Amino acid sequence: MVQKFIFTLIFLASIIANAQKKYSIQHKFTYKLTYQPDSTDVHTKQSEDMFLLTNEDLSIFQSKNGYIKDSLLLAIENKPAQEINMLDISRFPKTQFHFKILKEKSEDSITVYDKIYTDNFQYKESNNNIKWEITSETLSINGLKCQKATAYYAGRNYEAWFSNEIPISDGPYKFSGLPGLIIKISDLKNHYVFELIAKSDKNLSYSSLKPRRNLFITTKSIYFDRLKDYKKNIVERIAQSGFTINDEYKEEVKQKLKKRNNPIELKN
Amino acid sequence: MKNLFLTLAFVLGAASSFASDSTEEAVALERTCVPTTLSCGIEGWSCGDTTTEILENAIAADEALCP
Repeated sequence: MVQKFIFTLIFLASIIANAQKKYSIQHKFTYKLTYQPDSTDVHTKQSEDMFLLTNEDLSIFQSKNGYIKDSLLLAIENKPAQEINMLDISRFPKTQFHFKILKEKSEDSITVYDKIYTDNFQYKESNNNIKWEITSETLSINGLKCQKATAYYAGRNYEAWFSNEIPISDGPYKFSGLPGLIIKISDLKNHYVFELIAKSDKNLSYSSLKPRRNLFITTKSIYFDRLKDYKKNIVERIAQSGFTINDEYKEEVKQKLKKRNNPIELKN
Repeated sequence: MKNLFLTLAFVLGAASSFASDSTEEAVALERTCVPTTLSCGIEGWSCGDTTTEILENAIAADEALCP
């Protein structure tokens, strides 16, 4: 009985500790991601700022607007729904990239938190998936001496420029493992281009890695299977989750979604 | 942080109405649906049990439908 009680106590304590886990961040690197959602139309290019937050042991990569959005939602968590009677969502920060990528130096895999609509997923991926080929070519980018490396990852060939002047073996998205920070990386079609635009050494505390709602721990291939299913039935899936589109907009929505055919990972 | 709360006040504040404490308790478990306008003009209804859930559903719809 006592043993059961102690076990329950430890279990509850571990849940609480996990839920409240905070990371102390030493460096914040801001990348501008320019991407082309429709592979057939260069005019669809958009951009979004992304954060790479690092300390000596780990890094977290996520979109800037996702980071702001998490902070806003945390501020109103569990307020009763009756306090709203109409919503205009136009000023709320939004992102097209919901992933949060955790790279820990002590682990040989990276942990990816991602979303399919409002469902949260977590999967792990080996951090040896990217085999870099370092060349002797150099270039100065924003005053930093950079060296070129190339790699293939998830259906795209990439060209990266890293700098020994920032001796952090990390970079945007899932990219890391070069002898210096990746300053710029793009696939050869320029459909996804990450460029370092700012860095700051201000200390900050980060606590919103794990999602508040249900988390499905799965594999990368199951996650991408679910994503494929979602894309086939997107309007219906959105309705099931709690947003009903008025009928007159449904056809417009379906046409619009057809133009989003160029994810960063083409193969997994 | 100040900007965050200003944004929040804008999103929620324009048309918020505050029910009394007793009403909130009585209907706390009811699912609420709120008329919602997305950033690209699409109109619909966002539902949830809490303000966070309604907002999350509306934001997710906005991100999916108004990229």
